Amino acid sequence: MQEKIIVLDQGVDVAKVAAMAGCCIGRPSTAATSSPAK
Amino acid sequence: MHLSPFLKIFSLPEKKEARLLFSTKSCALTLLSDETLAAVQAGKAAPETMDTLVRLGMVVADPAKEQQEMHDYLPTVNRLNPNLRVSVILGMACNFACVYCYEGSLKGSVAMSDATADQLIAHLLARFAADQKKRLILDFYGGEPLLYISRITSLASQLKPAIEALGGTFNFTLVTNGSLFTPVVVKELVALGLVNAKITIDGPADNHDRFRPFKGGQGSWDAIVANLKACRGLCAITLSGNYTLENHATFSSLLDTLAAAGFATTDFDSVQFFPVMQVNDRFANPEFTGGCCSNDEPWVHATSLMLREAIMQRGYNFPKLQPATCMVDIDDAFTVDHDGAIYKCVTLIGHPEFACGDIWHGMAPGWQEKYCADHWQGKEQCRECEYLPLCFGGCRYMALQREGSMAGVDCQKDFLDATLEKMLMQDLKYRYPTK
Ligand code: SF4
Ligand code: SF4
Repeated sequence: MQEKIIVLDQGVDVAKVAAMAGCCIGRPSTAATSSPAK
Repeated sequence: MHLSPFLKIFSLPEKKEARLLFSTKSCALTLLSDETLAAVQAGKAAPETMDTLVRLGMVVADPAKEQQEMHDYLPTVNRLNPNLRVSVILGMACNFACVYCYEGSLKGSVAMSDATADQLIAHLLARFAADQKKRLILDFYGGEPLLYISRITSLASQLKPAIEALGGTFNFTLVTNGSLFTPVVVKELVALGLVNAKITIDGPADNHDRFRPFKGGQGSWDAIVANLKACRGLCAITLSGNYTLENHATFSSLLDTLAAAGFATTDFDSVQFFPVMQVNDRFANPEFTGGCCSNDEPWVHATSLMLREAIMQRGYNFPKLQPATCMVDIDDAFTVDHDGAIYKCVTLIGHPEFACGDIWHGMAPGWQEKYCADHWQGKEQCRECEYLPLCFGGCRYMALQREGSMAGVDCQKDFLDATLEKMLMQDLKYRYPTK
């Protein structure tokens, strides 16, 4: 049997998350979640 | 080897034998067959398959250890964070009168003084050097930051060479209403370190002009779109929009209008629309009622999926899912108000009860308690939650508005249960179509 995995996205490691951490109006990175609107 | 406790497995509607694997920890995404997954679970998969899944964090040696590591994730983020990231409120003047603005009656003529600006520079440089940071990123807010263009240029032209002399990089972003975003201004700011501007358009012109008029009541849509057109390609532009239960259905037409006006999808770094949060603050406009108090209102599940699809379908970049941190949890991120007071979220300026110190004395002891830092750590439901990396207890400001306190978490579980699978199906269709 031939096993096949298709990697669509490698994702991010904690170092990459750290490099992006900071200001977040309403956690927009998560999804289309609500944010305090300005 | 075991499946990670942060692994979600979904079936595909059109391909019965395939499984979609998503790690909430790394946001890695893979496709494999049902049979391969069974082999992985039985420990009988080929070594290459296992290696790939281990590398992506989908298969782990010890699930309990994995969970423990997630509890220590934020300290690790803080240890590895190369940046000092500071939101700077330049002043409270704004030339718009957006009906839902959380700053509401806080807006007015107060602005950062020269003495405060000088101290801000001294504070940032001292902290940058002490923490051995690699990059200083300022997010300029107001009011409307471009009403304070001379303050921005003065801060940036002093900080850029000073940070570079310390071996670091200096950049800044703008959260602007777009009305003063002209090529002359943008070119000048790019030379000083501007990398991104977040500009809000609330859907089609008639809706936008009702929600985001100039202070005198005139519409602002035409001016913003003309500026965007003139500034395309000069710096990355994040397009956002704020919708309510009543007007969300009109938002996708904005994307068609922009295309008809000659914009390309690549003119925007990303596009994202958000449901307006209902703010029950003492400063908020008491007449605005169309927002949501929680991501769990069912209309938010449906509308956020619908608008995400509308954006992706037209070929715009919708930001990828990724682990989300709140400024409260990040040691080297904070907000400085125009008067030099420090807060741990831009939304809490003007609330002295949430001030955490100031740029003359630094952080005051005890701020962590005010913001209920690590509140999720004490909650069993979070410690065992598969969504922890995407949530970490949610948005404290949202909890504060809804419950009058930050002590409880702003749980994303129901929202993610209702939307994650559908978001991934959208990704499969639009982000990775050839696979
Ligand atoms: S409290 Fe909410 S809006 Fe404020 S930084 Fe945290 S997640 Fe962002
Ligand atoms: S608040 Fe809810 S979704 Fe967030 S980590 Fe806790 S249980 Fe999970």
